[in-house]
Amino acid sequence: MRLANVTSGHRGAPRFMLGVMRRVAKREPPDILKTLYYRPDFFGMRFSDLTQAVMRGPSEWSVGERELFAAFTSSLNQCVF
Amino acid sequence: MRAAGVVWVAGCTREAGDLTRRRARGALRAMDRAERRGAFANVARLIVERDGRLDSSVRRSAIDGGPVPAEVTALVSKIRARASDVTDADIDHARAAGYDEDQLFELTVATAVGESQRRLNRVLDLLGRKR
Repeated sequence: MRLANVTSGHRGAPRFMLGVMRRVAKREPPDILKTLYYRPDFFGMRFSDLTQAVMRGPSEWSVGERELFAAFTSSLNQCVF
Repeated sequence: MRAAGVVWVAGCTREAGDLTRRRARGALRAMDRAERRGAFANVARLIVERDGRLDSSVRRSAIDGGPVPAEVTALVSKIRARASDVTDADIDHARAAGYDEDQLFELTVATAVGESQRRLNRVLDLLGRKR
């Protein structure tokens, strides 16, 4: 990640939640969360709702199959998530 | 000072609770396929319409796959074609041209959402399914 703001420039509730995660898990929160929690009104909030609907909502594919698609797509994108 | 800290934490806790509740409501609301498509388009629409630091016409163009200012053309092309090719040098180049962190965040998100929408549509077309 190359934007300092997305790494550690969160404000308000997202900053608080990331801080709690750091304390509880004793490790850095995943980059995907930092991105979704950075200015959540601009992008993260709506996108999370969409992701939730796509990955867990009604579908002819099972949750496991959808997770497999996601993992395969991420690997094609050279993304470790 | 200490009291201010307590007020800050209390405010944040309340806000965090709101965030969680909103997420839970979103999760419980089952969307059918058409609604999901609509929700995808909505994510893109809001990225353009929201108040942002980057000119909204640039955000629109980044989403639509159109041309963007020359200083960020290389960065945007990489995000569209193969995001893992982006390097610190691409970001530094844009920064040197006067883009700040929030503008680059908006540009990146807009480009990525637009590209993902185009890829999804390409696959739907190949499968002969309705967009």
